[in-house]
Amino acid sequence: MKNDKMIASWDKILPDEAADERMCSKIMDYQRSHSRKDRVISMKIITPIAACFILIVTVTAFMGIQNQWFSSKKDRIIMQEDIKVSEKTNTDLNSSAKDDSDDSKVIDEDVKAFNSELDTPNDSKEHSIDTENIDDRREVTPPVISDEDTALEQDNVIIYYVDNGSIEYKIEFLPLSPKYVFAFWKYYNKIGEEVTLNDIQIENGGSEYSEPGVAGYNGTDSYVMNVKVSSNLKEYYKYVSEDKLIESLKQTFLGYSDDMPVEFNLIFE
Amino acid sequence: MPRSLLRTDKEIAEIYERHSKTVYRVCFAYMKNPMDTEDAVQETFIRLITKKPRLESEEHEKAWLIRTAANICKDELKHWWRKHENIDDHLDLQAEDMPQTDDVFQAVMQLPDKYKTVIYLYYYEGYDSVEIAKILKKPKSTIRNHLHEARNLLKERLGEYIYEK
Repeated sequence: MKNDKMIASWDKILPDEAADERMCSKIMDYQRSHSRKDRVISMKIITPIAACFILIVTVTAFMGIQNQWFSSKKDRIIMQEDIKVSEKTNTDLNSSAKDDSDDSKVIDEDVKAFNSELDTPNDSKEHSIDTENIDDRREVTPPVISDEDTALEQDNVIIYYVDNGSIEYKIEFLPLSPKYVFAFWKYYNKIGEEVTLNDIQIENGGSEYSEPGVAGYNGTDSYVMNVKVSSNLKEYYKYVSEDKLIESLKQTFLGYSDDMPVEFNLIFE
Repeated sequence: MPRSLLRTDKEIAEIYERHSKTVYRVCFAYMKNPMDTEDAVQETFIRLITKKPRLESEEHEKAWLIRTAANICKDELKHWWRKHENIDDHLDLQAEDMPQTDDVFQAVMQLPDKYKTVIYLYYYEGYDSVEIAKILKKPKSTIRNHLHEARNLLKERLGEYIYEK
């Protein structure tokens, strides 16, 4: 296509002098009032907010330490395992107490108290914790949309996720960018930050052509979506069915894409 | 290039000077009349002031403004009142204010909205399809398809003479 014609036609699209002046002065008026407002806000509000924030953090930290709010689920399991170990120690103590009748009464009382909790030795298995099947995934935080990306077009996107063995969905209003679609998919599937989306490509089997003065692209109706993710996603298969997890990712990305791909490939890198 | 998020008056004036024409053309492609275009341009720069994005280079700055302008226009056109407006009520006003344009520009303006920005960025700003995909945050294949479709439509409306041989 002749670029000169296109350039010449767009060159005519300009604001007239009065319009340019009007736009510039309105923008500059806004900038002046905004920067003045920012300075006032920073002086008047930030100081008390900072003081309140420090107070809240201090109180939360104090309460958290007291109530063990910050220990992870895994830590709690380890603590419970410690309790289990201590039970075994008490059992040993029980047998040793029977062997050694010269020991003090205090030990006998301790043993009785322990025996009353554990009626039969077999019952203790029911109280033990099966750490293999426990979902010890860390809590994931909701994705944050960066300031810069607020400029992106936003729309409702259906995010599929696996919940109690079945595929559910939620609708999120978010910037139309694969990184946010993947971030929300990870969030709902409780997948950590270490799993990354490395690339996403849609191939439609088309081909580019170039002739003197003309460059173009011949498209087709066949679409293939290739999604490349970090291989550590596989570590989550122990928590969620592999098939369902991948199906939820596939449905999420196919729903998001405008190009209606007919084939979906998940590639681990 | 300032890295501070809080831009000074001088910096905003410089950014306006650098990119106002590009932003105006992107907005005009959507809004089709000078008055609405003016509002959209103002809104774009006001968003730059309020959102304070961290922009690393002039190219990055231009890309952010183009993307923001396009999305502001799309949002504006989605408004319910605009959909219920009778375009005939504004024909006289538009005719007075409309700049003199040629057949090529008229044909571009008749393209669907999603093609117009791509055509403008490709032919006027000189970006390639990969750069346009980055600016508009769309897959490269989508941009190529839009270019392909837009060219076919222009060819139908303007004939072969718009091609250089």
